[in-house]
Amino acid sequence: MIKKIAGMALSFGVAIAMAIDGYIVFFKNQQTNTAVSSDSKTTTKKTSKKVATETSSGKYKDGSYTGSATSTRWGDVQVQITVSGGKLTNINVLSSPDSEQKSIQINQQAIPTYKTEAIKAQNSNIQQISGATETYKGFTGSLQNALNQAE
Amino acid sequence: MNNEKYYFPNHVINQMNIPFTVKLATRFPDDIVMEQLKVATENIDEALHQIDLDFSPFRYDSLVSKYQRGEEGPMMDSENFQSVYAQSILAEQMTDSIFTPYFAGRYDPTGLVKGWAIEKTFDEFLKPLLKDTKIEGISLNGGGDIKLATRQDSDFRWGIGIENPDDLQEIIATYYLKNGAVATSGNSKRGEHIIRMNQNQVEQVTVVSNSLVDADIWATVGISAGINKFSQMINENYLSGILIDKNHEPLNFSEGLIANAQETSL
Repeated sequence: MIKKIAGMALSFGVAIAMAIDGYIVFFKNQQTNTAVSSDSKTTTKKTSKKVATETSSGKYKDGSYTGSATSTRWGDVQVQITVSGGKLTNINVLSSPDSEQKSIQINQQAIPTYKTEAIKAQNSNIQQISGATETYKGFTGSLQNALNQAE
Repeated sequence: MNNEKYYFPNHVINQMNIPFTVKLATRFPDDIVMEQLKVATENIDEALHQIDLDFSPFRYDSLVSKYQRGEEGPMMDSENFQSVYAQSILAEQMTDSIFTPYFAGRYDPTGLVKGWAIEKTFDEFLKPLLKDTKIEGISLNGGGDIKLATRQDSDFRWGIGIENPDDLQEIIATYYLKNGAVATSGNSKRGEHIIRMNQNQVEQVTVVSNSLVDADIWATVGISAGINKFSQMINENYLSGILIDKNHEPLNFSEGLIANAQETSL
């Protein structure tokens, strides 16, 4: 048990050392980036990967950088950035299609009930309105505002 | 919907000149629930403000403006910028370039940012509230584009009314949803640089999806693509939603299948 803990502590220490090392090598003048990366996030996966191949005189190290993957209906997407001569020379968008994209589950019956009606805010089964009008200016007189008042 | 009474405490935020309604569904709107709503609203408000600063093409110092001027910082250093960029390029490809993040030759993802912002702040600040067993549902509505969820063990469904474009005090249809996203686009919708392919035969398009970015893009595309092209896209991309044509007839489509909508009584 003690051995196990010691082992874990050791590997943790090594991991930290590697992280600091990596930081010094790659991110010395990009503190904001690492701050963002250590953030906990629900929408993006932590697959951010940066591979620098050679040094250069520019602000950024030469190499290929891959951003975090974001899940979309069409699978994960992420940017792949190429830096050469210290300059950003190419941006690719990588996507890995989700094989199940054809069976999008909305997790409910997505068939609406059709009925044109003026809503009585006080006893309505409706809580949110989806529409194309959207400025704050006109909000006071809107149906959404009336529903919000009813709570 | 069962007989138990639900309450819907809410707050409205004004950001990007758009009203954002943060709304919960609960049977017990006690102080703890109300406090959580208040804190979540403040966090969402702050995050939306920052997103506006970062992505407005009208602000000199925004990430978008910097990127337009050829600065490398936004793409290299901002995870948010990378995420928006990747999704916007993919959306352009998937919609045969009917949605485009370029305007007057410059990169401008405005048409995607609102949906992305709602989705991001919803996931970050509202989803954790479902851990509280007194909170049955969470929703965030930004100017008619909505992200919503309910507790897994809850019977509650959000009632989402679809606005009648000819009479904004009326709805033409209602969805009852547990989780997902609903976006509606109309002819007057601003901030979207859409190129109309045909003489416009479509008055309003609503799309229901898991993702709000997705729903929002397709609703926008539905307005500009024209009815024939969009029908094909509905089939190919398994879209669900409602289209209202210039004769004010609602056309229902579900998982890629199009059917004439029938008026039913509740």
